[in-house]
Amino acid sequence: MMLVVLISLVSITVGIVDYLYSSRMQTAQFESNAARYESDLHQLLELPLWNVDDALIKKIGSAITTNKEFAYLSIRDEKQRVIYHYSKYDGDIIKRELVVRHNGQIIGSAEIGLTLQPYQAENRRMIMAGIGIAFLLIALLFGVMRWVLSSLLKKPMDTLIGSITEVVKGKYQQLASPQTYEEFSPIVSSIDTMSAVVANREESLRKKSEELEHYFTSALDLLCIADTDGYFLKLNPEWEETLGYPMTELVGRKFLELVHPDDMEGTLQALSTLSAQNSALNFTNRYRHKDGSYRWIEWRSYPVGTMIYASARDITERKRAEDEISRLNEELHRHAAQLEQQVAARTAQLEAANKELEAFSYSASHDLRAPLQTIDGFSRALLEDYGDKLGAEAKDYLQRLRAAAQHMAGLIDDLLKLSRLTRADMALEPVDLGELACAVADELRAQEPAREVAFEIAADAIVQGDKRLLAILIQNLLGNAWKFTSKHPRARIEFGVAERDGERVYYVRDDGAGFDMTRVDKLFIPFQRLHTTSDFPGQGIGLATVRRIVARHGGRIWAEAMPEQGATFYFTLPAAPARTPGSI
Amino acid sequence: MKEGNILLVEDNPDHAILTRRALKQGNVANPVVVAEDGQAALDFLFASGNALPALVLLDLKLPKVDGLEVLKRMRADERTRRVPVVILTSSNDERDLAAGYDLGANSYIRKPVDFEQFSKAARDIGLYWLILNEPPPSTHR
Repeated sequence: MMLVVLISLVSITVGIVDYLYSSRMQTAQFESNAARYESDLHQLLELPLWNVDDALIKKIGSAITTNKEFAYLSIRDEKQRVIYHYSKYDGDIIKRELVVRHNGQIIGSAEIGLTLQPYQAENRRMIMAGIGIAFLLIALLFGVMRWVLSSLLKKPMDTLIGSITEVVKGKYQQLASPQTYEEFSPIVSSIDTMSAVVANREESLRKKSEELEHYFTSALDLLCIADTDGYFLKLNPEWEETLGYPMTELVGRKFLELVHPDDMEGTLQALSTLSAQNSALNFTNRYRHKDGSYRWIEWRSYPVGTMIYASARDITERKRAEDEISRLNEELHRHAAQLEQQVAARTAQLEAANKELEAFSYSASHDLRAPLQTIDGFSRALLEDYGDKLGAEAKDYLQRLRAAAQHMAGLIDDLLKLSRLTRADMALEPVDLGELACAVADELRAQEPAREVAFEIAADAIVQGDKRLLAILIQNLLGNAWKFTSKHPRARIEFGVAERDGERVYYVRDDGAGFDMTRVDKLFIPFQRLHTTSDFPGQGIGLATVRRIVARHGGRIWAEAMPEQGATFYFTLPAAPARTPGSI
Repeated sequence: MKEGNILLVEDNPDHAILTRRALKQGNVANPVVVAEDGQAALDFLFASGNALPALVLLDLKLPKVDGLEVLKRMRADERTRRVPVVILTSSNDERDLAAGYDLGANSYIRKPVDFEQFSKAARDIGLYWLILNEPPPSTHR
């Protein structure tokens, strides 16, 4: 191309130089012609003008004006009378005034007008011819070049293009280098390098996309690519299972068709969120399964232009579980409310019963004892005042009357004590049962110092409870152990703590009379005794009291025994709360 | 032994008899006036012309006006405010004990069922309140 431009420029420049040169040459020619015409005309006109030979003058004029350079000629006599006039061009005319003299006397004049037009036309023709030749040359050059290139380069180019076409098709083989032209080898090797790099990249892209495809098809989650118009574009196989449709029925489907009518508004809103290039997270809606049931789907969707990349999860089971939980919760609340109502009713009943009991025990403490005092008092009065008139048998009867009255008074007192235990307010605090046991043991030993009884008392038996009630509890249990070992010359009484099924259990064990386990169910009932009063004195209220105290603390009590092998009473109580630093 | 009556406020005639007997056996020689209910006790205490008793033995469970009410009125009145009152009753109910002391009882004795013990108690009461104890200065009537 550059070559063509260069050739054109050179020929045009040559043309212009040629033109300028010939122009100048023509101008010089013209000047000399004009001078010649002037002198010629002067010679020719001198005589005719002198002779006033108009005819000759006209002949001379018309003869000279045949010259194509003449554009204008006007010949006048000395009186300015026009003898001959000729005018041809209107364009540029160079005019010269010629004065004709004869022997120094002016005899006429001529005005000559010469034109350059014929020269200029010639010049133009010349230039046009030059340009035409230049174009012809260029065209020729193009033709030649084209022929040369096509005939010489076609084959190697075709080979190259063929190879590149193969590359474009994805066959990245080594290019066949045209053997005739060494100049092609850099191009060929560059293209080879390029194709190798592209092949490499394509391979790694293929691997990546294969990897992604593996993830896509093996993911447990539901994965999908959709568009903001509402169509499924690509889905992973999990969807087939979740919605029951084969993949062919899902891909390209308008997914809004499957959305539950109640969730449509929310889904459209999520779609418009995504269209605005905002991600939609934790969005849930229901999709219709092929069997007509609905599945709860939870979505995490990210938009990229008009595409939506989403991972989703079938949370139907979770929803069902949640629904079940909330249903159970409701039921629970209802039951709880019912229970609360029942508790309130029972509490009211209990309170009423307690009031009655209080009234009863108040009345009992006043009124039940009074007649016994009367019985005892007057029996005693009879014995004192009429003792001498009564036989021994009568006196014995009166004594029995008195004993019975006093016994009954004792029973009434025990009953009242028991009922007081039920009613008494409890002040809960950490209580060291071991300390209480030691105090009771000391008391018992002081009462009967002659007895040989070994006490073994565990330390660190600290419970949360009412100290007064717990003291009564320990007193009763240790008192029983003391009493029921009284027939043995030597005895051992143990207060201890054991771990049973992860629970702290306290126990009082003795090696005394024990009892028959078949009658254990009567053990804790008031006034039920497993031994006769003559063997072991007592009212049968102690263990009932113990059980009441344990129950009021929320614990349990039970016993294990063998006749003459001793008895063990186990009980549980709430543990004292762990001490926190700074608490009192 | 201090002079003056013992006012026995007791609605149960059996007990009135037995209390008199016990006091007698306990060598308490002061005359015993029995009021059979609370109202009768108050009438006796506030009737003009009656000397104030040296000691009031007060049962709690009484017809008409109960023992605690009698005690309350006695302690509210200028004339009977300082008269020694010993509550003598069958009950040792905690509420009775608390109310009795709160209202200004000087002592609280639970009547034992065993008459020998009762007799001993009566003797001790007499010994303490009518012999050992310095009575309040006699109030103007």
